[in-house]
Amino acid sequence: MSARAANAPARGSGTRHAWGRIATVAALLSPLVLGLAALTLGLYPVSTPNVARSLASIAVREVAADVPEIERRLVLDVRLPRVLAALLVGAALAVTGAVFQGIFTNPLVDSNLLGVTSGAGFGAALVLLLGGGGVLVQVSAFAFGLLAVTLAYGGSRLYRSAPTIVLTLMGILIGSLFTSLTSLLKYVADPLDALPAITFWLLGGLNGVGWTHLPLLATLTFAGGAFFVLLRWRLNVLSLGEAEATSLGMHPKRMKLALIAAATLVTAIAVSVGGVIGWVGLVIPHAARLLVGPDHRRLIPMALALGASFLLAIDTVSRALLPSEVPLGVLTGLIGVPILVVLLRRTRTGW
Amino acid sequence: MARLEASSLSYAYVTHTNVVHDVSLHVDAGEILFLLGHNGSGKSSLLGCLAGVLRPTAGNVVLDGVDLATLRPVSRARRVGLIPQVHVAAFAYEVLDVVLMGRAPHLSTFGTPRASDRRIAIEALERVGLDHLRERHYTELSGGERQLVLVARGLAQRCDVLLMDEPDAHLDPRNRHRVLEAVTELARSEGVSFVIASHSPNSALTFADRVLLLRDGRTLASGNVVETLTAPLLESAYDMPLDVVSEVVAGRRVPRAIVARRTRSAQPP
Repeated sequence: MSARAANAPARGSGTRHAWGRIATVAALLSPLVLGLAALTLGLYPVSTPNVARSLASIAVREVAADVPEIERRLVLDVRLPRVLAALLVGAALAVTGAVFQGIFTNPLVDSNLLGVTSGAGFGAALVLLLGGGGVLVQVSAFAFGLLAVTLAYGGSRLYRSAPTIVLTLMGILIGSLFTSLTSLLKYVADPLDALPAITFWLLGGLNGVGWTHLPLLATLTFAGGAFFVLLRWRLNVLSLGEAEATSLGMHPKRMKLALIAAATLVTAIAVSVGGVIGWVGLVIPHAARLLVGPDHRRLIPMALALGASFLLAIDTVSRALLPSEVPLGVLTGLIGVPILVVLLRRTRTGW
Repeated sequence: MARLEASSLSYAYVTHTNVVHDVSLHVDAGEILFLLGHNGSGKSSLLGCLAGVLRPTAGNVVLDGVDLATLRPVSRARRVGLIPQVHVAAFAYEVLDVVLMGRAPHLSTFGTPRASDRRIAIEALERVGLDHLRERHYTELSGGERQLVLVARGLAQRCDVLLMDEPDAHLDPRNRHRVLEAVTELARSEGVSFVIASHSPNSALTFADRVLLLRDGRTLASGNVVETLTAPLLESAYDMPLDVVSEVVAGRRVPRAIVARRTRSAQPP
């Protein structure tokens, strides 16, 4: 091959990569920037310097000496936990969606494929029906989310070989089962008291999120995210299907089980805090693929960043700009569906 | 380089019905062995057993005296590679990224390809003549180019034995020739052994050193190409009438399997 022919594509891709790199870096930094911006926004606006000084006062108390105490408390005790929760839940739902699409070799699935969200919804509804609340709702949602996926995975093992399609089918079946059970709970729930609570929880939202919700959410999301980032290249090989991954020296069943377990923990904790927030796990991986391509080495970090920014932006719009809060699950659908329609049009065939 | 030997292999997807029944074969370093047989004659299952992707229900596969089943998957994949039939990938990976996946058995679980892996992948693409496509999307390529990319992935895996599942299916004559020329070149210059499942007796007549004819999962005949691919044996393998004729191509006698031309006038009244 001549030197000119060898150089030409390299030069062309150089500029393409330069622009791509700028967009990529901007997207990766967006959660930080949007996070700071979101702290200033709300029904009670706080100026940027006061937000900065309030944040700094965590380390050095005196910095915020001339910031009104109400602003400092508002930023640190009300907005900061909510902003962090939005970032974490968004990142969790988006990255698990990307992981599920990779291991199921199907760009049209999301992290609810194995019924984790439906299970969690039932868990929350059960406690709300029995008059419980607070942490108990979260624990029950988390536990039933794990139970649903365990049932789906265990069900698929009843077949001699457990190919992906049987597992997918089991996930859909178990998901429908829990959705039906949830409907049954709503049917028998007290229409003045428990029913609105259940309905409201199922629509998703982060109002009422406080510091108590964060430690477990942050731990699982960071641990799961790190696990997915470490396995980012193996996800490429896994997405070829089990037979090819085996011929390339992998234990695809073992690795899939580990990834499904990690993704389920991360999704379950996100749903237990934020309720049923759809579309993030489907839309964001596609948006990330449009930016950086399907290679999971770049896709996984991008899905984490975009998911965090997307959910924070939507939650902030709902919290600060709309006259009254609209449930997150409703907004992500209203905004996510048109975005997905555009993305599916623009993405290459075959993803 | 290595010798792969399979003795009395059987394989069954469901118990009682063997799709491969008591098949033995061997391939030496630098040798090209073709597997021929009708649809469902057990070629792909046999390749799966040889690759260690399927666990044979009886018999074993031995690589240089070591039973393949005793090797860890990673060690096995460094020595034996399987090049699958052309497929459409679910994701539009770049060609170079697809070839890089051949490096999987050489990398740690949490590792990603390094510069040296990239060099090996680019070299493999150059070998099959597709270096200029390295930034294209795998899904946008023609069937022939995709097959060549999968061959390059097999090369990047740096195995001693490469198993190919119908590399000449879906390919036009030019691309079929490109793939099989690349195979011959690798066998001759690097001593890589090839086991190639194919539906084309003529590809075998041109490129194979030896051939194994399968019928209903059993060995019908095996050995030297010209002695094995005779009209009676091929008729029995495919259960149809055909002839093997000798043509003189570029001064060499080349046998060809043919079916008599059916024209309107040749039809019985």
